[in-house]
Amino acid sequence: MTVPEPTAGPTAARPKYVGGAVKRREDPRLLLGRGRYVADINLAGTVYMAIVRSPHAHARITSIDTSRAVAAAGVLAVLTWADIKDEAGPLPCIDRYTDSLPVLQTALADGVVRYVGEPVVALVASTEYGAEDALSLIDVEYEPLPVVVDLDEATAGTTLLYPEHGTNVMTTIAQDVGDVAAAFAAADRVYEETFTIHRYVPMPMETRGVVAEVDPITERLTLTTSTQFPHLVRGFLSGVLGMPESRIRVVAPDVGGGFGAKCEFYCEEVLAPLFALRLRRPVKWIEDRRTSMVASSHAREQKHTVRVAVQDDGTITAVDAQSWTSNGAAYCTLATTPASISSAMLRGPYRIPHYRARAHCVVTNKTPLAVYRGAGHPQAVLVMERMVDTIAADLGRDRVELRLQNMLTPAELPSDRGTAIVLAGQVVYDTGDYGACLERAAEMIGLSGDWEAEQAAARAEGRYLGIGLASLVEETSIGPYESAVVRVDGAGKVTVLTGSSPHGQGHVTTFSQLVADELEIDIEDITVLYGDTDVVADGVGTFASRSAAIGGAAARKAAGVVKEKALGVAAHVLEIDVADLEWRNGAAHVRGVPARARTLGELASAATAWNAPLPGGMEFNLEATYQHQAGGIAFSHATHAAKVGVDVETGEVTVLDYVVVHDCGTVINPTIVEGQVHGGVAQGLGGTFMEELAYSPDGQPLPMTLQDYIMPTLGDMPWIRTDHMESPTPLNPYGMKGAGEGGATGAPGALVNALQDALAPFGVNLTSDGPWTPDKVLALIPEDPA
Amino acid sequence: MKPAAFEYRRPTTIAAALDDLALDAGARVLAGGQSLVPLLNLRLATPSVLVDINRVAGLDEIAERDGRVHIGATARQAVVLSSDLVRTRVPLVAAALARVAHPQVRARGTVVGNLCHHDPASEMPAVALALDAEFAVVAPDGSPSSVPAADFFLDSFAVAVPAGGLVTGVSFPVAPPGTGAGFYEIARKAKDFALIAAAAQLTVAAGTVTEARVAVTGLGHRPLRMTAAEQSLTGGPSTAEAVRDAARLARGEVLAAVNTRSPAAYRSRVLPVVVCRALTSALAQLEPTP
Repeated sequence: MTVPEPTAGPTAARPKYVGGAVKRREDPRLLLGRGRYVADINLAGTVYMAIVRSPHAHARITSIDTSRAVAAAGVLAVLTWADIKDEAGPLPCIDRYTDSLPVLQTALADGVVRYVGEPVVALVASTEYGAEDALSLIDVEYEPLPVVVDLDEATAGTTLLYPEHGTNVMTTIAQDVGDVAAAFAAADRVYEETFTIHRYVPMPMETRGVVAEVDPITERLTLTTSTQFPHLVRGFLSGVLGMPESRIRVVAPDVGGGFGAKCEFYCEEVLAPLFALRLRRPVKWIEDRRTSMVASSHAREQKHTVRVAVQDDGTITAVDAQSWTSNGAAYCTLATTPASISSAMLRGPYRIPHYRARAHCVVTNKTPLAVYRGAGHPQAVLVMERMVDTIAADLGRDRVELRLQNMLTPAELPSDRGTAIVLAGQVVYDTGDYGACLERAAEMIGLSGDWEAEQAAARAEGRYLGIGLASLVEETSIGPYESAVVRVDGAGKVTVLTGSSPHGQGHVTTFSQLVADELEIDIEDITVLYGDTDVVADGVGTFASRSAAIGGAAARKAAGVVKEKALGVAAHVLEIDVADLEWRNGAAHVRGVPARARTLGELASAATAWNAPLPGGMEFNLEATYQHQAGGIAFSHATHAAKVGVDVETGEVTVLDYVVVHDCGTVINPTIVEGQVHGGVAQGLGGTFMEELAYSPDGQPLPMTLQDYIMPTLGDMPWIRTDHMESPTPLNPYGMKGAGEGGATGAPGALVNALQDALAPFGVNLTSDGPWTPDKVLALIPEDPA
Repeated sequence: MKPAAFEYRRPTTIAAALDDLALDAGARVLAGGQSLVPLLNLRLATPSVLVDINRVAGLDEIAERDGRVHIGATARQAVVLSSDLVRTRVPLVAAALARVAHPQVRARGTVVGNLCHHDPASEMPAVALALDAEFAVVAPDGSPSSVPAADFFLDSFAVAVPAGGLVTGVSFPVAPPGTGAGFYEIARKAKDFALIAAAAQLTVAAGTVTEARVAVTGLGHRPLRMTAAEQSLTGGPSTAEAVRDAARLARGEVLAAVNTRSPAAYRSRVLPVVVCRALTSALAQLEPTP
């Protein structure tokens, strides 16, 4: 779609922006290198923070000697836990269950280190280089303790991270639906399998970073941080330091990706303010990539065991599941969410009336684990979709047909699934046509009558092809709310403030589209502001595919209130009853008298303090604040279909074709939705074939740089073909659901199923998400495949 | 990015570069910086003196002399790759270089620097070994010498350059008429370091292989020449079957420690495959295009 031209006459219908492929308004600036990230912020008098991190996976700190560093030229301050323990409380975990054991992080290690990279001592020096040099002047002695990195060993509890709790299992989440025991007793067949999901990480292109400064006059602290949720950071920092929120300003400037890693509150966001308060100079810290490997949140690692009850006719009647999440050394800000989502969403689009899950959150001597694009969904989708393919193969059933047989139909929606997700609430699927989505994807990937013949013919030539499917339903648009302010200046220009601070999603474009349509004005007349708690008073943030549906709805609602106010002002100015006015093309028009109209700018001007006095009771200024509350979870859905080719001599896998049919309700901007899908698929593909944050048995992380932690680039990506379906949600007036995470959620399941399909002649049964590197794939293939 | 302190020198002549290198035993040469600068930033390398040779006149040559193509120490990979001389006269160099790093890295990185860094997973050492490249080395006293590739690669990240010496260039023999070049690499992702890679060059006259050159990188601490495969092909027919038979003779000690990214068993198993594919692609270049 091209950007609509303003229409000539007042009666002509104005084209809508929503639904159009409007080019991203933020791109010219970002693509020309005019982004301003934390690292670009250089305040006069800045000093630099560096952090001594534990080289041990588990050890008791027996002594810390900072004297050499303190005496070194250029070193301005050094902090240990002893120095800050009275002023910095533990870092929050906001998704703890009431019975979760308290295993919270502290800003510096409190006597015991539990993962490699855990902060032990922080220092500030006058230069970045000097700070780095000074790290080697801090002498810390450790007494190593037994290390546990394996999930099974950790669960067994022979080595404890927190002996005072007597267990490494910090929480067990329960989901119980129907009568699982009876369903298994009545089952014709029972399938049982164990799946392992490896550890990989969000790895945003921009690492984390902070700048903290204290205004010497007002004593206010400004923390600039690369975060997904500045308002929550303000609240967390206030809580940890016992400082009123009014003394804290948090700024998220341009943020170069987050994917969940920046949906966390980190020790550096406490330490830099502590130094700034002491030194009264701006304190800067930029995470380098090597540090990021251990200091930013990790993700994904789980083990699942599932039992599935199936009737001979293919009906899946029950699933009995257990999972173990390797949460790392302590709880993150969002710690139980992956386990909670995996357990609540395992059944995906399938009816499966009886369900039981126990999801265990287990501490291990690794970097703390948190949410990453899709949170617990990708793991659950992999497990369920592998099981469905296994059942189809065993029953000799077509895998599309078997899926369709078990899928919820539109007539069965809304459907209360009987499970719940921490922070988000009850799982009630709202809208969607899962079957149509699957059929469309199967058709697009070529899974039709000729496929098996094509596959057989290729095998005869030594080419091993496979198609894999993954159908998913995904929690999006969680609450509790998002805020928006819309205000119009006297020139008719509109400012939108959103509490949903973006980091690449294109909020400026999509929020402008929504507000432009509501006010029937040009998108160029809209400015979207965000990411500064002094500019936007209240907000929640950008995560869980929530911004468009919650923040976007708030912005459009606020614009609607502004429109009503404008009509009220117009009634006053035109001396006419408001019922005789209509809003069209950015102006209030007198019905039946097209020439009598007042534009948005004229009305805004009329409502200012220095213009016409308004009648009593009428508010000055065309401005409105709206808080949109979620009122439930909107569930997006999709089917991914991947076609792969396996080189059976080398184990190399090529993704030949990739299809995503996606339904995120009303699409505001198809290009942005496609971008979200593409990026998510890239991350799922990376996790499936390349990326692994592996640990040695003694708890040393193996990758140190991106030379060791392999991520896909453009050269590794297939051409992704997408198709959109639109099942609007009733949870907001505009029908939008979330689109941010479905790409990452579906890719591992589809790719592993495709690999399974390709390698089926060798009798393989893939029960892990990889990463399926060439050596691991080749190990599945006999030396002489002929 | 926080390297430890170092002294930075930027000489304009080889003699001055040698003087600068003589300042301290910890002096290192900086050319394209694509390997060294990351090591500096990680503080895995902490040289006392960094001798930037980018302003030394004449080191960026790409020229043919005496039956060899000479590539100077500061010639960028991107420039070498786009050179018609390289593509036509030493096609194996171009074939392999296309697999070395991303365009952004190649715009700055140098062929010689990449060879001197000698990462055991690097592609170009195999090419240098297969083609009997000669390295132009200047000793600290200024005396020049030529070191054949077979003697140059000593160990992972170690080459035969005396302390305080400088490599000013590398030369490859011009491919004889009737030569095809092939390079096959298995990597973890596009443009990444090799898990294993084979460089092959076949020269054929009247259906008979007159010269076969094959070397493999990624097996151990240095690239290995596949002499049994070369001997099997030389003097025989230039056929796909001969290539397959020769590839089966590919042998070499595969060390686990040298490449933690890929088990030794894997590299052993695919060794004949990559050799076969490199040779097959060399052979394909010899066939008249329809």
